[in-house]
Amino acid sequence: MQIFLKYLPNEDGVTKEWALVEVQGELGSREETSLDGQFVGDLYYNREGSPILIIGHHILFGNVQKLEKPFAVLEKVRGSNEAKTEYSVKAVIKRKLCFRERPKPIVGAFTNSSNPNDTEELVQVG
Amino acid sequence: MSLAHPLATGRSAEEINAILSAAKLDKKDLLAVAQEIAFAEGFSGTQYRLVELPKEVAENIRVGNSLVFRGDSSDHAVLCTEQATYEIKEAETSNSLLIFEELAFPEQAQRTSRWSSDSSSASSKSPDSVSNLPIIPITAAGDKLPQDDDGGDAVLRDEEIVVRTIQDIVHSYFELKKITPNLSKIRNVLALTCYKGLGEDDDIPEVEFITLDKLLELIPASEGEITGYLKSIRVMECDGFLRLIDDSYLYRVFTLVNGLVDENSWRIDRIPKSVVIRTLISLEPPIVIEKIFEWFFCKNSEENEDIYCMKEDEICRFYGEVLLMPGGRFNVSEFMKIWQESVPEGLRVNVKQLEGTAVTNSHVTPPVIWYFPEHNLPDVVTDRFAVLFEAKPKWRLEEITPFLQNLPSCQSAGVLLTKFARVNTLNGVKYYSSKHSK
Repeated sequence: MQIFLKYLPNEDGVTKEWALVEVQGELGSREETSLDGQFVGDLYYNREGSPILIIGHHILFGNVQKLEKPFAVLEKVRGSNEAKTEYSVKAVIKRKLCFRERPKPIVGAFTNSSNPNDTEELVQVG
Repeated sequence: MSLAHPLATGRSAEEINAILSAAKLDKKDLLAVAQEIAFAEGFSGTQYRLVELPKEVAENIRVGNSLVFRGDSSDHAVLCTEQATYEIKEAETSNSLLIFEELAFPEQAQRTSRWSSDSSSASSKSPDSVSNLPIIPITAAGDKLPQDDDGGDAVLRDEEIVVRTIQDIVHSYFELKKITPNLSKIRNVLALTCYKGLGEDDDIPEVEFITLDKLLELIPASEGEITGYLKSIRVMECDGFLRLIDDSYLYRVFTLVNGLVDENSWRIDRIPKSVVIRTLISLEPPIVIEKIFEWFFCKNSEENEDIYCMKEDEICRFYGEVLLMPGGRFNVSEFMKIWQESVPEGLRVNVKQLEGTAVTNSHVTPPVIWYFPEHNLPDVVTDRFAVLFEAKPKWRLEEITPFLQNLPSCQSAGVLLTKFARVNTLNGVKYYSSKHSK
């Protein structure tokens, strides 16, 4: 059996570069709703270039890491022939934002939040 | 594509600013990039897989070389570049790895070192909104944030916020580890269709013939390693099929060639290939003669492409194998004499030429030598050591090393011996023996 990896480079022939964010635990919704298009949180960088992620009532401080070994992002594609599985290399990932520490709670309520897609729906389980 | 408008989640800049202030973050202290994270539309959580790339594999991807997964149901799958084979192992992580197609890193933000500061130039989210006025966020304590000294807004504006979507979340990735593939299976696969001469193919069923494409389906190794191995076991491609050559047939054809050399009194380094092929064309297929020149001769003249020289080690080794192959143990000194007499005139035999294909035991009287090819040994390391020490209890390093190469474990002979053998010194010579022997 042989499965060939196909490339989908940019028009200029360069492999696309994607990015990774690593967080502790799981990202999920408290309700069993579809995650389609759901809001998760806000990402900033401080003046030192360290990332800050705010998810619901939690704030996470992280750092930017260059991966020692890059990742290839593979996508399984069903070939025209039903039984045949193919993979394509969508992109490579060379850097990630890493949030290893446990999230810190943000004290104080968001009194003016009226959005039904409320941030509180998404929780992080450490 | 990054979308500046509208925010996918329909949140307003006011809400975002409220969160910022609750988190006690001041826009002044942040780089000029705000990214709103959301799940992609149609998020499935199963779309992508991550494979960690060793440097040389990453380089293969960069230059666009092909990569291929190989293996049948009984083998573990491997990933192959043109020249190397990698074992695939899944590594689990308790963390979540969020995959983004686009994400701004700090240096992208630093390129625009400041937030857009002109409050009147920016387009607002809705024409009739009040967002052209400075938005004063409400902090948890209810106090105002101070205005930025250099005239910029202290708050985020809609157009400063880009949406980044999570394409997938994974909790494991594949690691690649370079291995020496097990190629010995190739010999067995091709043994059924061994070439024994003209007219000998009629008994072989058509389905048994193997093409290179078929072999690539069967053997979990890179194409470069497979073709290299095919060359080392003397396989020729004939009408698109890969054919091992029967040793006694090959010996017969080689003696025909050597007979011509004698007849014409050619020097062993002045053999005209075209004359040999022309003379033998009615007896043997030209492809076999061509292959004999490829395996046992080398080009010897810059000005004349047709002049070849005998490769001493290759030819002596082949003659030695043919002599030893029928089996049994031979008295070493007698064997060396017969062997020397058998080879083409002008070539010198040396017991080193039989490394990895025969074993000599000098601890018995008289010393003996016998056929013991590396390719017949088990691939599992412990089993191989058992067979080696059963054949001969004590080995010198240079004797055993040829039998410890090409093992799929990819470890050097030295490492394997440290792990699986015991070393003794006898009269100043180091010998390796079984760990369990007395």
